Amino acid sequence: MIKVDGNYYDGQSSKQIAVVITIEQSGDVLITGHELEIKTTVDQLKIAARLANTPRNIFLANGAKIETKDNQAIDQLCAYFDRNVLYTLLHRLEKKWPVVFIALFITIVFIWGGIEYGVPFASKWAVKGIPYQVEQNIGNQGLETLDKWLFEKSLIENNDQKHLQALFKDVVERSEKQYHYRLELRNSKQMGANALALPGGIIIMTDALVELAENDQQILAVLAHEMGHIEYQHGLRSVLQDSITALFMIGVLGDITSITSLAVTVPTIIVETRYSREFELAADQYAIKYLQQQQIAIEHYIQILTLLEQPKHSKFEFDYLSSHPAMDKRIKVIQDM
Amino acid sequence: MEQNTQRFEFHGKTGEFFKIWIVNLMLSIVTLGIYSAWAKVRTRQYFYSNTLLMNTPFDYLADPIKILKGRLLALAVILIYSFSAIISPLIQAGIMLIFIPLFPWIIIKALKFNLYNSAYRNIRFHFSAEYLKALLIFVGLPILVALTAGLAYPYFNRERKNFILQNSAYGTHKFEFSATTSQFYSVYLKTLAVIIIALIFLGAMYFVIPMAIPMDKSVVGVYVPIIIIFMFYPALMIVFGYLYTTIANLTINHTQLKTYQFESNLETGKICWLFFSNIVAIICSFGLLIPWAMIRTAKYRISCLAVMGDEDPEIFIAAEAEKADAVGEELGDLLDIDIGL
Repeated sequence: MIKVDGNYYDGQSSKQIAVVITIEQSGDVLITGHELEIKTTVDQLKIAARLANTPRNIFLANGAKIETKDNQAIDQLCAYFDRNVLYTLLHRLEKKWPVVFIALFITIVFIWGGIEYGVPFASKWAVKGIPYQVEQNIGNQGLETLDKWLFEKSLIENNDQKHLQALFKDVVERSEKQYHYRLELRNSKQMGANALALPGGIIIMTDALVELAENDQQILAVLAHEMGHIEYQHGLRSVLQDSITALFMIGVLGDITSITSLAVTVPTIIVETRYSREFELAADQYAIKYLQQQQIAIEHYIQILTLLEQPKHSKFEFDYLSSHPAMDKRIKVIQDM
Repeated sequence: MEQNTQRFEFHGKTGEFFKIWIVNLMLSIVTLGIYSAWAKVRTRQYFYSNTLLMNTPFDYLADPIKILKGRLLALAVILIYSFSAIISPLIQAGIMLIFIPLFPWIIIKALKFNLYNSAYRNIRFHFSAEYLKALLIFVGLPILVALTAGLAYPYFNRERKNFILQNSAYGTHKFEFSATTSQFYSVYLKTLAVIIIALIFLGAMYFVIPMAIPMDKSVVGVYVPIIIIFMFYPALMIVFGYLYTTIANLTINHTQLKTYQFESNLETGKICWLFFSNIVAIICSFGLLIPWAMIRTAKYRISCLAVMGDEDPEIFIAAEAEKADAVGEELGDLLDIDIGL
């Protein structure tokens, strides 16, 4: 027999009545208080899960509620009648300090594994299901938008353009996928010397980049790098990885933090830039492979990367928050390949 | 007449909650987010039942399964929306258009769910509102705010709070809201004054810093703007803290339930310090101090709350039971719609 003190609320009004609950081993329950006597059985009661030392609720079948601070007695009751087995287990997890360290460890391992393998793997797998038609569409729309906001017509002379297109053809011939590659030359004040790849096979090179390059080999290296992005479908994959990451962060951190959205945004950005740097390194690798096959010295690639870096030499390089790896690191990786 | 003042109390403890938080986090991650519904209920229940008024705790009664269902549905909606962009931006624009009339519905649903699952003395809170009114306030007024270049914002904010409070009820008794539009305008005008003072201060720094710290003329142009930018964020925080505090106090101090009068006396300085130290602590601890920040924030906010009145607390009567599903609440969560007061 267990006796428990508590407060009774009938669920119809906010009236509070102090009661004593008496639970017999047979499962019979007697609730007594001022002008109140209820007889019921344990299996008619809905006992709330224990949560730290917060007052415990016991709901009666008719919607009335008893609130008690005597968690220990209710725990005994649950153990004896085999009630709330899973929640009892959960409470045990939540009250022990050693569990904290194990939980912390498991959490870190899972987050690390998810970032390192889970998300990239999932996006790689998901990208396979996107038809080429769709990929091409995205690329074309991307180019349209860029043309509207960033790009103007290229000012490169016709003959030089033809030469560049010929170089381009030479690079993309090696494509392992049946992509329709196309080189777009553009002039842009905002972007300076730059090249970018859009899903589906569009590579854009700015006039400034063509001017900056000292020879054809350097151009070939840049084209091969951009082609690497396209062959590996980095564009689509980064969209997918970024949205998976964002969803994950909202799902897991979202309602746990809800104090400041900064706690969600900052880790999201850190993870996303990390992915972007990985893509850059993979594209570097692709370019190196191409250059080696063509027996072009890797020095040309390093040179164009160094040249690209120069006009920005005054800028800070925060490696952790940069979408591209810091250039000296990148060059070192290339040399080691 | 001396009125009876009852203060709200918060009994949550950092160590206790930290353990709940870390188990929630682990189980949410290990189950790929499925447990997050239970995590949400346990977190809320911890905060609700550690909040006491007249020695009696509040209750959060939501069913985790309902939250999980709502979450999955909300996720599906978001995924369809994101992938529609890949197929065609036109389809996405179409979905956007559907979202606009859906938006007030989401807000009503979310408020309904949250209030219906909050209880005190075994009496649930309720929310019920007309869709058209919500459409007017949450779609119509933002358009007005945009058209007036923000001048209508205080009006919008007042209407928003009015809408939420007047349609909320404890049992059968509705809340009342008596703050006027001009009171809201006065708060925003004062905030504007704070902003102007902050800007003048920052502007003055441009001349004061080079005088205080001797440096080369060529360096002044580089470092002084950097220093000022670093001072800009604390200044922004003070403005935000001031606005948050005064609006919260104004709202709560003009809220009544029957003859009960609510009271809030948050202080700008304390709120600013709380927000600032929370962010610094969370970042420096890689998130491990989130539970600590949550507890101390709740402790301060709740300790500033009181209710005045001689009314008998036993007179409230339950309203009819209703159906409340979690779709709106979870959609609102995922879309980061600011629904609460």
